[in-house]
Amino acid sequence: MLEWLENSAVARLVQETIWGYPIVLSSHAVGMAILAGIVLMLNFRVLGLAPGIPLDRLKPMYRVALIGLIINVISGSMLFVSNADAFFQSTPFWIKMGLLGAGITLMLVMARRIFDSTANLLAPEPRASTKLIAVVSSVAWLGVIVMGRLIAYWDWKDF
Amino acid sequence: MDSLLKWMEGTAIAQFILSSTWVFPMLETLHFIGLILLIGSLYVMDLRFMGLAKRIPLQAVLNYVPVALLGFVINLSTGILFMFTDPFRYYSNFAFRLKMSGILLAGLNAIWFKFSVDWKLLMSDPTATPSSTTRLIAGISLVLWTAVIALGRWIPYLE
Repeated sequence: MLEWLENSAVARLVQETIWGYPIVLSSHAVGMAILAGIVLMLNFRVLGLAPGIPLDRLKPMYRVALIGLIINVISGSMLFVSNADAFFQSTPFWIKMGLLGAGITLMLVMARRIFDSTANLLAPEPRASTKLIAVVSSVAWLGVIVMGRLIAYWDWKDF
Repeated sequence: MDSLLKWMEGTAIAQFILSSTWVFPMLETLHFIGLILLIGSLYVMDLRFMGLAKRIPLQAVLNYVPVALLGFVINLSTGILFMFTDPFRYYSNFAFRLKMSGILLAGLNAIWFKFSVDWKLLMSDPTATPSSTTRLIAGISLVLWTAVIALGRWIPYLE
């Protein structure tokens, strides 16, 4: 399976063209900035920064963060297939995937809570439990970034 | 310039970063965290000034400015430390030079923003539509900073 992935047309494109790898890698960094950057800013608002912004009005920004998620699922899958065997055996990669699952779940839970305009009208500031989600979500996303960087250093034999 | 680069290379700080396997990856991770603080807050502000999420009060979105400054300080410091480890390589690297030019242009663009925006109007009417010049400047900022991220990722691949 992993071998098949590494021999697929997409994998070959990333491995064998001169610019393929850096183009996908830089797209992954841009997607990260859009996704993690904006999610972090939403979390900061929940935690009390920029209290002048009514929570539900941030929804268009959240949609932009989802564009970052799409960019990174695509570019991330391309990076994975280009060296599937090494990623599959990498500890930080699997920790990153776990934290990514947590980050996405918390992002969706948060969106359900803060983009409900009726609830905002009744209580403009988030509940304590929503604030806790914002803290855990921020930690998870920072963890995703830390682990992503560690993939290149930890037990990495193929580069 | 040559003597400056030579001095950087010989400093104790350069020796320290290179002496341990983990200092460089830790600085890189910090650089990524600074990146999402800087770019995440700039995306939110630029997108608002470009006309997205018009219901976010303009003066409130400016509460993200300190986050951008914090990210910038983190990345300026870690970025300078990277330079100490291999000054000649960075200095002559094409992607690095383009990246630095992008940061310089983004800085000049920010100064243009500061002096061209009709602050009185925007502060008195939080939902006022920014002028076409303001929207253009915000768009330039978004494009330049996105290019800066991508170019940073190209440094190891464009000698």
